Amino acid sequence: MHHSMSFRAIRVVAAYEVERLARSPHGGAVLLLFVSLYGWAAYSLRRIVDSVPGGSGVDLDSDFAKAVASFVGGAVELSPDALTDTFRDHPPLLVAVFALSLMLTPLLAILLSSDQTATDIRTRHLRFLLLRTDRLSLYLGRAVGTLGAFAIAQALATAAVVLALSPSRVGGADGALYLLRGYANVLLLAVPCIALMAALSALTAHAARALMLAMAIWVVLAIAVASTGTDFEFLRFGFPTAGKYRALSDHLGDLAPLLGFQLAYAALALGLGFVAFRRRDL
Amino acid sequence: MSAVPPIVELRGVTKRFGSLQALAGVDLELHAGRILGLVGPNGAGKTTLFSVLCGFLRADSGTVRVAGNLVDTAHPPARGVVGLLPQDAAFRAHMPVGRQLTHYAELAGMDRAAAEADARAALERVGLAGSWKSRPRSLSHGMGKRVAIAQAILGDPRLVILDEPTAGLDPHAARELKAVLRVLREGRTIIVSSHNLSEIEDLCHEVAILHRGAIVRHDSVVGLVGSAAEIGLRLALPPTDAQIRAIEGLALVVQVRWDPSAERLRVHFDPTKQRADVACRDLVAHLVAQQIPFVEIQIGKSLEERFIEETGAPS
Repeated sequence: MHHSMSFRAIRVVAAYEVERLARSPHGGAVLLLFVSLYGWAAYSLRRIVDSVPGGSGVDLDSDFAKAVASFVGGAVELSPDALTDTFRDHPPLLVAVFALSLMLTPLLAILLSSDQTATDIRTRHLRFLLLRTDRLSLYLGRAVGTLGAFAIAQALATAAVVLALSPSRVGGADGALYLLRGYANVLLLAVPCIALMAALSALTAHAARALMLAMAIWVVLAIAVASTGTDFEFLRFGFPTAGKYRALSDHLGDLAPLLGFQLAYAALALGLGFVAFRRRDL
Repeated sequence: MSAVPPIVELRGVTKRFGSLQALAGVDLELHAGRILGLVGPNGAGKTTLFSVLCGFLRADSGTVRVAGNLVDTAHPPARGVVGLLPQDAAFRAHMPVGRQLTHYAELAGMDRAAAEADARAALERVGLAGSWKSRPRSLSHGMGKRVAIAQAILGDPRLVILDEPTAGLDPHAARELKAVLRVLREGRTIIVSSHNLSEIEDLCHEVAILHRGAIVRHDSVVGLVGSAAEIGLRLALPPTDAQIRAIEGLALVVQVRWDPSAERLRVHFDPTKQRADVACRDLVAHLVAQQIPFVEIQIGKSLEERFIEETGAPS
């Protein structure tokens, strides 16, 4: 009987991928970048916190706060009310950590996931694997394993930032739950990024080229959207970062479309990538 | 003809890469327990044939069956049936050898403990038990080949394909590897390709000659090299006319010819009247009696000579 996709094989491939990333210079370099960026973030936040005596003390209903919410909300695709509610309902420090994570995640996820199948195609290492498992299990297992490695790195980074800021500022059980929700949203943002890289990795068969191509798509689409105005705003949906800051909102009207977009993008990218991977002569 | 279906069966298999016809209607059968040597000039299609057989490449036409099942890229051979030593595949540079082999065995369906035990056993069989924690980049080329062979025999597959196992090895490493292959061939079905024809002659039961994408000859080693009614002699010195005439005078001899390009004396006899071993014995007795020093004697032609005859070009 021919072998077909199996969840066991996906689990075996994924566990191995986490270990492989942890041992590889590439994985080590991305982890170092995680530590550096989140370390810088923790240091900056600590300085801000230490410079404000007696907590935030900001009146969110003041005209000044509303003007800031309107300005920042436009930049992050949130209504001023949603942004004000976010700061009213959650510890501002954790909101800042959450926003920083959303900002850094696409870059870190793309860097970590650029070599899912590329080097194995190029060096024909896949020939050692494909007599023992099917292409779909291998392809999905690599993506799942990369997501697992990202999840571990993100958890460590978040924990390190909280420790650096002092756990007493997290805000008890509510704050811990908010952190957990933020962590889940960050992982959801990583999913389409990793899916995009699964596809580019299989298409290019070269990790560095896959990375360059992803960056090029990101930059070109951003420039295209900025320079063509609202008529071509749909172009921003060509990259998985579209609307990512909507995850900061507690409103279902912001979260549901974002979740739908991220899952649809991931499914489409994974699907197209697998078509390329399956058709490849290996 | 055996009633048992062949473990490998190819019918009319073709594969083209652009203008290059890599396989041009390959027909091949191999039964369980046999060792087949696949030889052919560079670019003859050997690696392409293996790739089609393993389901890495899709044939343009024809059918490929392994252990009775049709094979293509969507339907590779059933898990655990085929083990492959690819010619040009690389291990992951930074993962320890033992961990990589364990991973392959896990993918083949074993649990972690069984996979690790199988990986250790395979490494031991190729004489590299001490390399469990080594990184592939720290191994010599010969050791890397042996690790790749250990990988090919994980899970004890029914068919093992070895694509140029000794290519690029120095004579010492090649000899060590051949010793490993001699042990491994017991009780297995193996297809091995090599440019080293004496190695094929030494290891295999059958030989298939692949030329321009087609099998031009498939026979037992004895059938291929021993069918000629000829004894080849390598003499210490080129023979004199008198020595040639003396050999021509022997009762068994039909013709004697000095081949200066191969530096061999070709002695042809009538196989219907004289068995090859008897003819060889009588010829040796004559050489000893006449004090003609010789350094090598061979019944029939070498595989290399037969290969050149069949393909019309040196390998």
